[in-house]
Amino acid sequence: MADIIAVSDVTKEYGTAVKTKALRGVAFRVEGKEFLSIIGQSGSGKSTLLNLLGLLDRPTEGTVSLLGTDVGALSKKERAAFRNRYLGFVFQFHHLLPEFSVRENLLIPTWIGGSKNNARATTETHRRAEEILDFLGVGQVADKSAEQISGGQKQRVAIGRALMNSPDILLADEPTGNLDTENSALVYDLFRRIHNEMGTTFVIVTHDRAIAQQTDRIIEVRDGLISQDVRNDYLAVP
Amino acid sequence: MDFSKINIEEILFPEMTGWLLAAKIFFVLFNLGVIAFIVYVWSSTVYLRRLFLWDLVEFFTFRAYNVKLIEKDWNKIKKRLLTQNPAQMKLAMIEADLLVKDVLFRIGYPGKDLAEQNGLAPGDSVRLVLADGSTVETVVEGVFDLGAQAANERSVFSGLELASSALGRSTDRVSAVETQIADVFASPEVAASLRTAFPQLTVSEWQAKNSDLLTALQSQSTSSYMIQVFVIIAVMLGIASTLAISAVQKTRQIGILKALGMSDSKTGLVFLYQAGILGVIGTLLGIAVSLALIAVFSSVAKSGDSGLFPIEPRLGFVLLSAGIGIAIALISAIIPYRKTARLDPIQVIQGG
Repeated sequence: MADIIAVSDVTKEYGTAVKTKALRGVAFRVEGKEFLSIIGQSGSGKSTLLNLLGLLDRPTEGTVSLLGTDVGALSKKERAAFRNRYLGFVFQFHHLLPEFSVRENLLIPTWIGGSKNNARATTETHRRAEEILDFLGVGQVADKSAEQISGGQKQRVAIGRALMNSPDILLADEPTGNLDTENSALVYDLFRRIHNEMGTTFVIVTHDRAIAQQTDRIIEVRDGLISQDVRNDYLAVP
Repeated sequence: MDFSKINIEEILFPEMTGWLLAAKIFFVLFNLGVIAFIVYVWSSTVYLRRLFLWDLVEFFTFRAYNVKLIEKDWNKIKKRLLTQNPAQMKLAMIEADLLVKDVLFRIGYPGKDLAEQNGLAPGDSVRLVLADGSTVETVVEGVFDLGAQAANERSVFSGLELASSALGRSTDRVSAVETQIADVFASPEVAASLRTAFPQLTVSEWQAKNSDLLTALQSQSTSSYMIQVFVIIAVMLGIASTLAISAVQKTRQIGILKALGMSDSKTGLVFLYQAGILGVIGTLLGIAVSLALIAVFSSVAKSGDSGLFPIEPRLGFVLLSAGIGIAIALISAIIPYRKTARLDPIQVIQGG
């Protein structure tokens, strides 16, 4: 079985005249459905790595394979379609579209995927949206505008949006960075439940070590290199 | 907090302030230029300028326009009548007739033809007084509309026998033959062929006799085309700037949609659709307003039942205009289309 994620000797340079290396030969593999975090100081290269995993950017050198596909070989259009079909994103800022209701925000990834023109698919996606909203505990605000709900609810809706196309990999960039302690814990619990119940691979980028310590594997990035890649065994401790 | 120091544009579009300001200045200058050009063209159009001046003078003087001029003319006519000289009296009658016609025309009762001015209808008897004082009795058979007020007021058609007997000429001789051709601008060629066929006749055609009118018509056409070109450019820039501003305002949403997997071409299509909708709605409104303005203009600027400047909208031209309008709107979407295609979603996501 192909690796879920395979990153081989990836470097990433920015700039033309003066070049800055954000990543300098990063390599790691995710073989099964894991719940891992990438930690590092600001400017360490962790967000750059997430952008490469999310197909939002291309590596200067090296290869990134997701679900057995060398994504570097894909065209821009194919990468967009891959992102929509197999990846889910949760950002630090919820990035919900204020023009739409909560339910519509959930449905956006399916519309992009083309379900809006298919009556049967539309019925199914609506049902799935209801299930996800209930699962996340925001079913009661489904018809409200995305601007009318609280910050914690917005982030849960953003998680729901990421789940709509049943992604194999969910990428989260500082997902609790904009939340209070209570909502941070709630988001983390949701991630863990989604991982356990749906089998989604999680890659959480964070600088919050408390959050990272609750994941099964921690990859630490420092100065564009992986300084640590450790299994977190404390959860297994009774 | 010192609100005067806050520049809202710098907050909303920090990287766009420079060229947005330049674009605004450009559009303001461009629009002023277009307005100045339209005012210039309008003021150089005699008919509209005259109406405007009349209104202005009447507004400020609280009396009908040109009353003084009429008084002056009327006094002149009275003076001629007092001379008791038959020639002066005839002249007085002609001038009085013209004065009455002029006044009636100005207050909206022009009377489009001889029949209307003299209260004649088919079947009525009429007595024509010729220049030498002789008279001819005849019956009105019908009333013609030649589509020109001056011709309607001064033309009488009769059989050759009546005209010949009235003028004391034989029926086998005519002084002139006028002919009408389908393509009015082919008159030089038609005249040339007639000269070849009838070398003993003097053939003249309207373009040679009215070169000043032709020059005026050509100038009018050129002005009209120039106005159309400027309007098209103004419309194109207007729609393009609207879409460009829309693209700037929707940068965040577009970035998020791209991050969620929307392709560059699909995000660009959003603006193409927007431009299409703007184009269709604008074109339909434009056609409706144009037709309404034509109707208003035709009802205001008319002589009797017929328009002074009859404008008949043709379906083909309306469809062509609609096509150009929608095409301009779609072309205007190219800039925002390219802009959104180049937008990097990472900038939006990290920007918060």
